[in-house]
Amino acid sequence: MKNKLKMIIPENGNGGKLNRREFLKTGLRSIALLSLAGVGAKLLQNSVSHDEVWQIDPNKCTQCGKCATACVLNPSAVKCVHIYQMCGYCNLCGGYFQPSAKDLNTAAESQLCPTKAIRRTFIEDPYYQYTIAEELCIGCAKCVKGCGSFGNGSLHLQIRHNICVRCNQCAIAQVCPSDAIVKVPQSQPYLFKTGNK
Amino acid sequence: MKLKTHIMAIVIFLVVLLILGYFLITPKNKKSNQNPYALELEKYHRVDSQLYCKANISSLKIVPVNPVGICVDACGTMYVTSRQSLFKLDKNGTVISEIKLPGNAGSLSFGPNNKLYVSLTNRIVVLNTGGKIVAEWETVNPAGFITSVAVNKNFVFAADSYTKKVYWFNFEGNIVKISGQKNADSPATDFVVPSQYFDCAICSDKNIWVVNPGRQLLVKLDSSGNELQHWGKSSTGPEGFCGCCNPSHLGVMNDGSFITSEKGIPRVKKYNARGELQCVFNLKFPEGTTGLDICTMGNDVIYVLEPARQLVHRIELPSNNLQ
Repeated sequence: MKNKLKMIIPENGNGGKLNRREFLKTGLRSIALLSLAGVGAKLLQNSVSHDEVWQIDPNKCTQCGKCATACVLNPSAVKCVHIYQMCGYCNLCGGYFQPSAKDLNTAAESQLCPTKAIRRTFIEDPYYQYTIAEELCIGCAKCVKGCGSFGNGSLHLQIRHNICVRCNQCAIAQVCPSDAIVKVPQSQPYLFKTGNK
Repeated sequence: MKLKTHIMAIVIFLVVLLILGYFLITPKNKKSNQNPYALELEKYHRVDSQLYCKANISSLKIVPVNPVGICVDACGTMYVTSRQSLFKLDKNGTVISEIKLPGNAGSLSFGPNNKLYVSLTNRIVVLNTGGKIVAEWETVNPAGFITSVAVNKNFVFAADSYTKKVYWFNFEGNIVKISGQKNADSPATDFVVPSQYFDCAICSDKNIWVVNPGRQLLVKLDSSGNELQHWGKSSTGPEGFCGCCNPSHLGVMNDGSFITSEKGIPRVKKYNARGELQCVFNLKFPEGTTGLDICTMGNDVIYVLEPARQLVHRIELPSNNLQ
C-alpha cells in the first residue's frame, strides 16, 4: 500500500506528506491551470471558426439600432438588404417615408432614412421601386421597422461579408438584445426572410 | 513573512480572476440603451380620449390557434377559421364543434340561403348548416389567395390578393364577372394590393364595398361592377389610413357606417356612411398586431378577431347610437 502511494505522490523528503509551501504552490498551480482552461474555453466558444461567419437572423432582429453603433467599423458592416420578391412596390412605402410625411415625394424631410440611403424610382402608376445605396447605409434599421410595421417586411438587415472584418467576438453580438447575431456556415452566409406579412 | 507573500499572491490572483470572470463569464449586458435611430410609432398609437366610441367592449379568449376569419350568426354563435378547421363557438367562446376542412381556411361569410362560404387559399367551399361541405368550387387561379368572401342575394364575391381582382360567382360556382381591371376613368377600381390584406363587404343596399389598400381607399361597386363612389385618405391621424396596406379589414353596418381595422398602427375605427370619422374604439393592441378581422351585426354589434392573442372583442354600441 505504501509503495503504491509513493508511485502517486512524488518523494519530497518528507515521507510523502506535503508541507504548507508545497500545498500552496500546488493549489496555486491548479487554480491557474483551471482558470486558463476556463478562459480558453470561453474564448473558443465565443469566437468564430474558419468555416463560420457572423450573420443576423432577421426573424430575431428587433431593430434596436445597435448594429449601427456597436460595430468596430464605421460605418457598420451591417447593411439593409431588400427582398424584392416580398416587396409591394408601394407608392406609400413605410420603409421610405416618415409616417407623418405630408407629400409622397423624394424631399429630404419626407424620408425616413437618416442618411437618405434608399432610392425611389417610378415604375408605373402607382408602383415604385426602392433600392438601397449600401455605401450610404449605416445599418440603423429604421427603414426595416417602418417596412415591417406598415408593409410586407421586405427590408431587413444583413452583415455584408465583403465589409465585415470577422472579429473573433462580434462587437454587435455582445450587445444585441435579442441574440440575433448568429454564426452561420460560410457556404450559406446570408439569412433572408421569406413569406408575406 | 513568506506566508504573507503567499497570501498576498493568492489575493491578487483571485482579484485578477474576478475581473476576468466579470468580463468573460457574466452574462452580456442586455439592457438596451437609447436608440438614436428609433422609429417611434407609439406616439401614433395615442388617441384623444374625446374620440373614443361610446361602446361596451368585452373580450373573449378563444381556443383556435392562428385564427383568420370570424363570422357570427343571428343567435350569436361564432364561426372562426383556423388552419384547416372551422370552429363553431358559443357566446362565451366555448367550442361547440370543429369541422375539418380540406385546406387552410381563411375568410368566411353567410349566404342568404343559410349556407356558409369559406375560402380555402385559392378556392371556395360551401357548407350547409350542419357543417357538411355541399360544394367545392373551382380555383380562381392556381397561385391565387382569396383573402375575403362576401355574399349578397345574387353573387358570392371573392377578393384575391394575388391577382388583385374581385371574382363574382353565381351560386352555382361559376365566375360571371371580374372587377379590378385597369380603367383610366376609374383608378380607384384598379386595385393595388401590396400584401395579403384585401377585404370586401356587402352594404345594406346589397352592393359591395371593396378596399383598395395600396391607395388607402374604399370603393363601392354597382351590380354591374362599375364604381359608384369611393372615399379614404392616407394619414397617420385617426381620420385616415396609415401605411401601404390599409384598411386591412372592413365591415359595413346596416345604417351604412363603416368599421375598419388597420395594421402598422393597429386600430379599429367607425366612419359614417359618408366616410367621415366618427370615433375610434378603445381597444389596445400590442405593437405589430395584424389581421384584425371584423364581423358586423345589424346596427350595433361588432366582433373583432385578434389572432395573435386569440381574442374576440365584442363591441356593443348604444342602440340610440348617434356617433
